[in-house]
Amino acid sequence: MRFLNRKAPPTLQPTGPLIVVDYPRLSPTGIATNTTLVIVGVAFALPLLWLVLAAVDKNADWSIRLPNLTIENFRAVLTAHGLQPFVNSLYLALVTTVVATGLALLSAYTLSRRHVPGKRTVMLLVLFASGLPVTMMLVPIYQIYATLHWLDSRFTTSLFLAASALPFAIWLLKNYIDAVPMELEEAAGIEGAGTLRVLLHVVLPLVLPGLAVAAVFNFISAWGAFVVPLVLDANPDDQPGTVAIYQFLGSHGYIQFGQLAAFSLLFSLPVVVLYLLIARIFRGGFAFGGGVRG
Amino acid sequence: MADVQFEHVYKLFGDHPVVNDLSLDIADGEFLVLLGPSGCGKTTSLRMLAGLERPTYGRIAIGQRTVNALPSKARDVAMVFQNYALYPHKTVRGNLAFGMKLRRVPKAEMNRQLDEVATLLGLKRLLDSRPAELSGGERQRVALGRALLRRPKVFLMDEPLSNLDATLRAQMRAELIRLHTKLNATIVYVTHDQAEAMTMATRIAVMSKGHLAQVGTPQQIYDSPADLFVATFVGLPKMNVVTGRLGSVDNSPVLEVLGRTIRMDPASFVSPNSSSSAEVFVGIRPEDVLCDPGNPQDAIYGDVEVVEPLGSETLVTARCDETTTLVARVPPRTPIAIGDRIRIQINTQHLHLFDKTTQQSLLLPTTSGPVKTWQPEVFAEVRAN
Repeated sequence: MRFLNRKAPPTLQPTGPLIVVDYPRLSPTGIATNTTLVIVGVAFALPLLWLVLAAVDKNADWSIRLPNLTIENFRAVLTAHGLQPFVNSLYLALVTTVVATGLALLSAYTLSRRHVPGKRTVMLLVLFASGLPVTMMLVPIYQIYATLHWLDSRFTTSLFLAASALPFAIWLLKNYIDAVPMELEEAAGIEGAGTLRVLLHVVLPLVLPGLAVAAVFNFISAWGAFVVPLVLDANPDDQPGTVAIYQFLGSHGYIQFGQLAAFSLLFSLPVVVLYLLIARIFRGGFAFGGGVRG
Repeated sequence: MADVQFEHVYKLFGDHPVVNDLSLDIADGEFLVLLGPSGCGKTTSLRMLAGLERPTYGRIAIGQRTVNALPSKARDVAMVFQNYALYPHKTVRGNLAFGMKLRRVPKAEMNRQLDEVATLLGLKRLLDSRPAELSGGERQRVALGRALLRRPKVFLMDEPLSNLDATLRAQMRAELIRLHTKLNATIVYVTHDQAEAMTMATRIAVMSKGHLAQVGTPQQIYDSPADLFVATFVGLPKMNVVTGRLGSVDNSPVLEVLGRTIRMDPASFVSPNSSSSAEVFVGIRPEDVLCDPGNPQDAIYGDVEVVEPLGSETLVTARCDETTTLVARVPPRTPIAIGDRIRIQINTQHLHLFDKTTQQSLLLPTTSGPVKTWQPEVFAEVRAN
């Protein structure tokens, strides 16, 4: 225990001594925790560092080293493939996001608020389905698509991506909707709002962070989808970025590390932007307190 | 404005009746308070009136029109929730205007009404704030303003003041009374707080375990409780209840209680069902227990166990025998301390009698009270027995 020597802030007019008690700065647990975090952090940062360095290196290979600076890799990638893979990826991701998020909101609202027979079983099935690997279903789905003549189309491919993204989105959104107090909907109902207005004017604004998370998640998973578009859409013009990257590994005989890194970097930009966006959504503007107490 | 009827309304959750045969007529312009402990069915009754729950049996009418099948939005009621239920993403203005927007009130008219209500409730400087930035009292006023702007046939209020601190609650109580007088609105108000019920209600409906125990003006409920539950639920501190015995001396009825015999007016009460000398519960309000610290002569004696000075009055708990304690309400600064032996008198004019099995009141409505020619010294007079 000691007494404060420097002057107290002017807002404070102490009538007695200002007592300061010191707390220990470093504890063994703290050191162990931080060390572990640094090791894990480095493990994650190194591959990213390689990606950035190799993308601008004329003679890129496996190693991490100071690059022989060039933008040739980016130019080569863009001349070889143009922007079409990016456009295709964007198309798949957007359609998937809109379809999956929209349907998930409606399903989650119903499962959260209405009496659904066997609701528990339904929710457990949804949870089970959200963990099911897509590749498992791909052969029968291919059969179905072939029968329906749905193969080789970006739209139908994104419909399957949307369907496979739906379970997780429903599960996520249901938890958000569960947290919206029932009284808010009752109040709106008494004021004269029907189900659709309640959903649009009361529930939707309140689950917006959840909706954004679901949308971004759906977008990113469709953006990164590889096997599904590879199998369902054999049209070379429909190739998304993920399938295009694959060609850097195989079709040219040897691996063009520089171009591979440059393409990967370009391809991951939208994902990075979305993560920044989602962080913003959570940080600012969505403080929904004070509506109900309890 | 409109009147409201509950006609033999039941609400069962599973097999459990939460509301059990509720029949209640609420007049146009009345401030009716549904009073009862938690779980007595008062909130469920209100929610059935709002259209948020369906009655299992029975009819509910607003303005003589059966509303059972109408959804909430078609019932023309406004509700103030215990938790306020403000839309957190809307400003105060947005919260107030939402209902009017739904009803497509013209913009100019909407602004006029909004301005009027905001002025009435002192919300003008808060119109652009969000609920999270408001204090509890302000939120409650927004919720109230939203209800006022609905201009409903009936206002429904579900414990709207219970989340406020004591000072604010008293202030809002006064505001509600003023508002009711001004609007002459029909208000159905649910609370477990008897102070709210007593101060605001034109009539109180006391509920217990799903049943309607008694309906009456606050003073009627307090003065002539219909059964033991109402008697002990309304009134703070609680009414003292002791066991007494009805008998007769010289062919006139007497009540033996606390070792005394009191001559009763035969026209003032009915005999309990079983026999003429049955045991009864005798209820005595704390203000009818009179303490006299001095003069240790003939009377009931009690040993003081608890003294609770409240400033304007003092509550004294005294033990009269192993099974009986009485709580008395005495003037402030009465020199009574824990451990004192005091002399207790009872104002027998306001005694309450209850059947021991049915717990119903045995008193008949009279103006003079149950005791024949009451005098303060009644104990001394009848001690002969």
